Amino acid sequence: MVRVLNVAEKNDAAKSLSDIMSRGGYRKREGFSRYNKIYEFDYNILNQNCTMTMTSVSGHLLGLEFIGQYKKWHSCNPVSLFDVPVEKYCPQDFTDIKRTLEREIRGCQTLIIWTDCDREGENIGMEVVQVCTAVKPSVKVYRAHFSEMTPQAVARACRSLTPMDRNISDAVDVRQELDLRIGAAFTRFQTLRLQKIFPEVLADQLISYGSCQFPTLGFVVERYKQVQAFVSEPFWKIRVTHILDDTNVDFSWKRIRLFDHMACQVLYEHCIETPMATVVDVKSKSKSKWRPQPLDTVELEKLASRKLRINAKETMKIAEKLYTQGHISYPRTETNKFTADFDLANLIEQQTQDPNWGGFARGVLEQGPNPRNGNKTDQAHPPIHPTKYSPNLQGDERKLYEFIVRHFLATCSKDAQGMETTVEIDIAEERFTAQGLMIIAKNYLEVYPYEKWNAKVIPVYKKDDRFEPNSIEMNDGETSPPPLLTEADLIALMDKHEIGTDATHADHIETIKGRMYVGVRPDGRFVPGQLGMGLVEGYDAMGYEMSKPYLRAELEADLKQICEGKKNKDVVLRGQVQKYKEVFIQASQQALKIDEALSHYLGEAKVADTSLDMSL
Amino acid sequence: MDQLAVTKTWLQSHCILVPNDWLQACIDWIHEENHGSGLTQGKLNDMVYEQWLLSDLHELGMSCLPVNLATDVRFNLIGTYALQIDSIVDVSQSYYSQQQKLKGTDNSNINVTAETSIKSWEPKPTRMLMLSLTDGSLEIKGMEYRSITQLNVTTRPGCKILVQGKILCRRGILLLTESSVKVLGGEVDTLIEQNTAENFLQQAVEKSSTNAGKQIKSEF
Ligand SMILES: [Mg+2]
Repeated sequence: MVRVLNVAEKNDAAKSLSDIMSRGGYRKREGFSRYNKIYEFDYNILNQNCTMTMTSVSGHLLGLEFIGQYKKWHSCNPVSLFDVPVEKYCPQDFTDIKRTLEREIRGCQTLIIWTDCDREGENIGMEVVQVCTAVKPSVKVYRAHFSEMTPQAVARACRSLTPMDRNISDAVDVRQELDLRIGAAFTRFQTLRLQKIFPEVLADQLISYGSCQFPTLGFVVERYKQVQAFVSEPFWKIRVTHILDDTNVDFSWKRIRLFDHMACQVLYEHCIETPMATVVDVKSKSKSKWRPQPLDTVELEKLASRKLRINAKETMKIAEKLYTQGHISYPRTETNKFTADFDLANLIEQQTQDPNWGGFARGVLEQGPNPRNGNKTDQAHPPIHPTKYSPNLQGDERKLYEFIVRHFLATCSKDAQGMETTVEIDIAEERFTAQGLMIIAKNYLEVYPYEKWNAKVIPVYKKDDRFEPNSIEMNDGETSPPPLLTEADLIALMDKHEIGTDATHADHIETIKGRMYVGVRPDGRFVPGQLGMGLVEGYDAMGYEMSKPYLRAELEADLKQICEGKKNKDVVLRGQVQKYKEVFIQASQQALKIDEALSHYLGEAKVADTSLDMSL
Repeated sequence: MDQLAVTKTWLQSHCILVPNDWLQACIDWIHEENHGSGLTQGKLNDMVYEQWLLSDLHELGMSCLPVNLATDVRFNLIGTYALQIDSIVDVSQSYYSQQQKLKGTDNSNINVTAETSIKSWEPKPTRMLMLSLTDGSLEIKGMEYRSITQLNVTTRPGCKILVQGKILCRRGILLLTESSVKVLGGEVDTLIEQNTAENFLQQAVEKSSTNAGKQIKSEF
């Protein structure tokens, strides 16, 4: 029989896939790596019965490093890190996995790559291909495409195997090489310099730089400074109250508020001179509160952070686990619409057993599922959804699974319906309005406790009614600064400016926290630390917008074009290396500006040891 | 009638009052500029009017408004009056946010939030301009009580306007509407220098803070 080697991205995934393909009947044996088991079973694929060997890697199998001596910090002037050769190598921890692959491929004629279907997954798959073909050049290579660990999805993947996508993998290679060169050059440069200049504070500190983490930090600093610089101002407004049918009705001023006291007072006096109100308009209109759109990664991260108080990094870790165990579909997706042929009914059916949302799910089935589709698609994965009914999860896994189920049912149901009534009155030719809301049908809100819609009673007013209000007041208020960023806001900003991808937002945020560039207040809002403030101010003082998103966003756009086959990998790499190298040279020549900015926070700067400013 | 008297009468018919010595100096200067070549009365009127548009009414020192206009709690102003706008500020938006926009330090990132239902962190009001006005002696205010499309925050300080009809004035503030204002144009160099938008806003911020906390309530 033909032997096929199958390689998944993680052991969990290899196990779930084997379980599905063998219907629970696989044989398990050990590989060289304790964590990556080997599963064997027979399966009909590529039009023949094959003996399948399924194993896994643990994410990237190979790393990228500078060759030989350049790995050492003091080996060279950091600027040469933009040019010295780099190589892929297998880190010590992964050599066992590599040995397993090398041994297993020998007996196989075919290799099928089952890594995650995203950019990193394609690149990881390519690393597996590289290792295997080095041992056995004649092996036939295929790529399986799937978004969830379900029998249907796996069967579909087996029927539609393709070659590897070299473009997608190339884009990852470019990103890796740039991250390595830019990160190493700036990190070595600023760490070596600042440790000497602020020896008391920074002697043992690694001061890392990354072309994504820096703009991420930049957003936190920017908002913090907006809050600091904010000047609060008084304003005045007129409010009318009226008690009708035992209900207190507040009418608010159509001019909202004025920042000139006398202007407001004059209009107030105008009103109280003839305090008779006339109803000039009563409008009732049906109002919908929209059900949520199907979940993509960014929304999942934002909503979990805000509604469940689980941070983005943790959310993705849990989601990843739920996925590899087959509870939910692939959680890294940019798609927020279900295709017309997607079998929603079957998925909803499975949820009807649940004591809490089962009834709602039955209701959705009766009406026919009708998702409120968005318009984004990554052409690879569907929106995040439950793939089976899983009542036995615990803790945060349970919380996140429940959220995904409820969100899925909500998006498939109907918008909440209400009737909004707006009453507009005229007093001395000033206009005021009051609103009421009657909720007619909660619909999706029944299953989605993460959102509220508050009804508000308003008595019946008729056009041309005249009444004397109970009071007219001129109130003062004060403008308040914008709020500091929450993690969810930060993700929204990164997404808007294309810093990182939905797969990496959470990591960049963790990095700037880990480096103490930012801190998180007890209320979950981000504040920059002294080091973070100083670095951003220092680089900004040079006039390069390094803490701004533009430089990095250009790279992300280039990477997309490589994936689509519209740009050449080497051209992009050369161009980006050159751009960052120039920025680096300029930045190192103006390094005093960083010292100066940091000295506002960290105390006096020691005179720079010139031997550090290796001539460029 | 001499030229001065004729010109003065013509100006008065347009509700413009000027002192004799200013008018005489103006006419002399115009003749000088034209080397005595014959000017028709009509042409002279136009040239004097142009000079008036560019003059500072504070320096002319005339007065046409009733004196108690600035102090009465309520006053009905009737007639047509030529006034000068010393400064303009929009009082419907915070002065700080307007300063940010002027300096170009406003930043749309401030409106980015994960809360998709919130479009902007500050409400979007309709504009209300407050004008500092003078007839040359009396200083009063004009409120954009109803939208006046001919005016905006970039209207040049020193611009002349006619206020006309029957206008309610409360505590020295005219409640102006589109039909009660006619913009004549002009500007005053010294005011443009002093009363930059940045300066108005700064003054407005300082003045506004002295009124913080003032509230009133009337029950019926
Ligand atoms: Mg992955």
